Amino acid sequence: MSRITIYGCKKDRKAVLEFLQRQQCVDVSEGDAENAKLGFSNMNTGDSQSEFLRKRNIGEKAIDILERYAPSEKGLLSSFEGRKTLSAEEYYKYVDDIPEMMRIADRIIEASEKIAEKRGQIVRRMTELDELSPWMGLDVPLSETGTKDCSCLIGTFPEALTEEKLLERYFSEENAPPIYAEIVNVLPQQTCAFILCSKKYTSECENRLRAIGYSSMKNSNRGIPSERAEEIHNEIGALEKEIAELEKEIASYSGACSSLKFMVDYYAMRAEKYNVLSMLSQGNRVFVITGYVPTKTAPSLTAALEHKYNAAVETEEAGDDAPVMLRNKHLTEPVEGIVKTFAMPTKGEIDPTGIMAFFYYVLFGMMLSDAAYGLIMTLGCFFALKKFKNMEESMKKSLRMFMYCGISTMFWGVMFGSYFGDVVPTVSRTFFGNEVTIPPLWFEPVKNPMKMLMFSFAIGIVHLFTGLGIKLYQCIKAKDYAAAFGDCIFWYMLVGGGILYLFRVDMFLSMAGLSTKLPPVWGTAAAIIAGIGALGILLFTAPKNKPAKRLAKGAYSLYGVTSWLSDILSYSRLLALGLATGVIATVFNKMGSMFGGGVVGAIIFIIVFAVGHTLNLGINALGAYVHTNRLQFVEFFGKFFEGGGREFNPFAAHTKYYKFKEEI
Amino acid sequence: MENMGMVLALAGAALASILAGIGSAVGVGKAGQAAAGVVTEDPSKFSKVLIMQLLPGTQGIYGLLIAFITLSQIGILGGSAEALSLAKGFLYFAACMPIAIVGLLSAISQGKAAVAGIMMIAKKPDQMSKGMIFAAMVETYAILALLVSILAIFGIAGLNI
Repeated sequence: MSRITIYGCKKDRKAVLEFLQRQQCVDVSEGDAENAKLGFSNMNTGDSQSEFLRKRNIGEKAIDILERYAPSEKGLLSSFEGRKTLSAEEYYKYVDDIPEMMRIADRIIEASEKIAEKRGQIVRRMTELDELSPWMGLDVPLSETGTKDCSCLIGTFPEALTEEKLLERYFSEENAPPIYAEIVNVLPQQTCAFILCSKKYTSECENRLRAIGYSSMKNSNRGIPSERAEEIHNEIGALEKEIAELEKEIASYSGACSSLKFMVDYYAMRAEKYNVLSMLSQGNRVFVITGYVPTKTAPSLTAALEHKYNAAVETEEAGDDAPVMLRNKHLTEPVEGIVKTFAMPTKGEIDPTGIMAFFYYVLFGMMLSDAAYGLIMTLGCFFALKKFKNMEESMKKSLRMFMYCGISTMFWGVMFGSYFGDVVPTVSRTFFGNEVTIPPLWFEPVKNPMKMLMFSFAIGIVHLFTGLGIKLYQCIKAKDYAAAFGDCIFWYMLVGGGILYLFRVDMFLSMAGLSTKLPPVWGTAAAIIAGIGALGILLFTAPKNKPAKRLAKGAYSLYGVTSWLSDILSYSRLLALGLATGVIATVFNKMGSMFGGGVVGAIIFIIVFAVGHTLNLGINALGAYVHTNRLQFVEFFGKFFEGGGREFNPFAAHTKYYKFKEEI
Repeated sequence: MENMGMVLALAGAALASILAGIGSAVGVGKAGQAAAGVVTEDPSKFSKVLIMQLLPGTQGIYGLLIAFITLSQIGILGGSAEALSLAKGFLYFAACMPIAIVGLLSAISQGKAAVAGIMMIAKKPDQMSKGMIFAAMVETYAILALLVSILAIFGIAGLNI
């Protein structure tokens, strides 16, 4: 990284900024505080930025609504397709469309809000209709109060009643004024009744009725129930028609979708530009841009700026707070994403991507370890990469990573003799009578799990020692020789010596199934090496402290040997996951072949085979991915990698739907 | 009594798939509830939360794996069942226990970690792989238990008791 300072005339400001946005190679930072003393100031663009973002959000919302009412057709593999590239001509055409699109977006949002409102109205009408339904038999309005001499009481009782029962209850009290009652509707929990009485007894009648459970419907002002119901039906019909029209209107804008997407990108780009604008130091006539640029691209950028835009450019070596960009070769580049997930290396720290990539492929392959699965992964990724040339860069990298992982899976599958588990012997035995087996190139982990376990630990030790090696390299580079010994070399001696000594222990040898025992002199040598290592760690972990503290810190560090043990044991997952893939595949093959040979058996076998192996591949590929990451992050990175750098984030057009060509 | 060995071995195999399966069902169920919640807000996160939901599901598979290996070792699968001594039956039973018990508990714990990871995806979808690692940390112990079960079962086959 280099620090770059660009000085330009204000009249060229727009052109320079647009040029930089297209080049995507300058990480702009806040101008120096010293510039303020020279009369430079920063422009406040917060308001314009939020205005652009507001407009972008309106566009996004409109697109969302549009997708809901007029879904665009998407292929199964559409997520592989990258953003479309626009030519200059198309760009300007779309720019002209923007005011119109803004109007359409507003209209779409408005229509969708209206639809929501009308849906709410329909729900309210439905509730009313529910309340009315028991009264459908009534042929006077619910609000009816009576005639000149006669009062009319309309209401409900909270139980099922017949006319006789109602009257019987009512007249069971003495001196009850006469009434006429008619039952409109009976439900188990409710009786709707229409009751007439003489006007002069109205309140008395009502009180007596209340005593037996009556409650009035008097306050509702709703006309004759059946007529009102029809009215409501008509209203709902009208509302539904309006909604359908609004939906049609929204759907009719589906042609504008691409322009709306452009609008979203356009405002996102402008917001980004104005964000950078606010970071510039500006005087009356000139402006200053400060930022970081990859050292490799600095000369060409300088030349272009000086010739095309009359700007003066200074570059210098970047300080410690510079952002970090990972740069790797084709084969190792795909795992950059994995490193970024963990942390960016700080400036000056080694980029672990290259070394990690090799282990990544090996470990992933060992965990999945099936030649056929590997082939499927490799071919799938390969064809996706070939077919979708326009794919986004990050997607391309992931697919390339899985392609290489697939190749490694194939390799280990052949080594361990696994092709869809044991499909070859199963099929040949079930359908063709004589069993054919493909012998493994090396050995079969299911038959010899201890050997596989030992091999897993060996891979783990190589992996961990490589990590420690990187730490040693960094210590030497930083000329920190005390740390080189205390944190690295003595550990090599302790762990290496300890492992070597194991080959003298009978119990370990019999467990591992090894027959060759090292001669005693090796054991002594190993013990001495480990002893020196342990002593070294005890004494040289914290050589600058006072003796007591020094020893205490050394002892604590020595306790870290337990973490080495657990780190190495952690690699046993290579065996466990490898076996899991093979055994589950075998289970599916066995299930498929249970129905014997013949046509029916073959059909069932094919179905079980297809479903079972798809499932197995999916789950185990996921498992291999997750656990490879874990081995890298926890065991490998734990030995040397600190991270915490800031990722190089150049000023560019971070658009969602389109890419733009150079000349715009 | 001479058949007790077989009974015990089969009980072990059954428990391996039962307990580990229950654990995974609980874990995946919990994660599924959280995942559905996230998808109601943002359907485009479906594939991300689905992967997180799957993570606690592996214990059930490990249980199945151990059950399957045991069944074929004692001859129930493959149809060559011979009488199994009581001691051997007990050995198979014991060998099945690590994945049965650790599978049950670790899948439930992993389900909780997966729920937290799904919540994280809801807010920061780009941090998904970190959430996956958190959940995968729990699985380590299921893998270790699986390993002990596998090694034990393969070892028992060679014993002559």
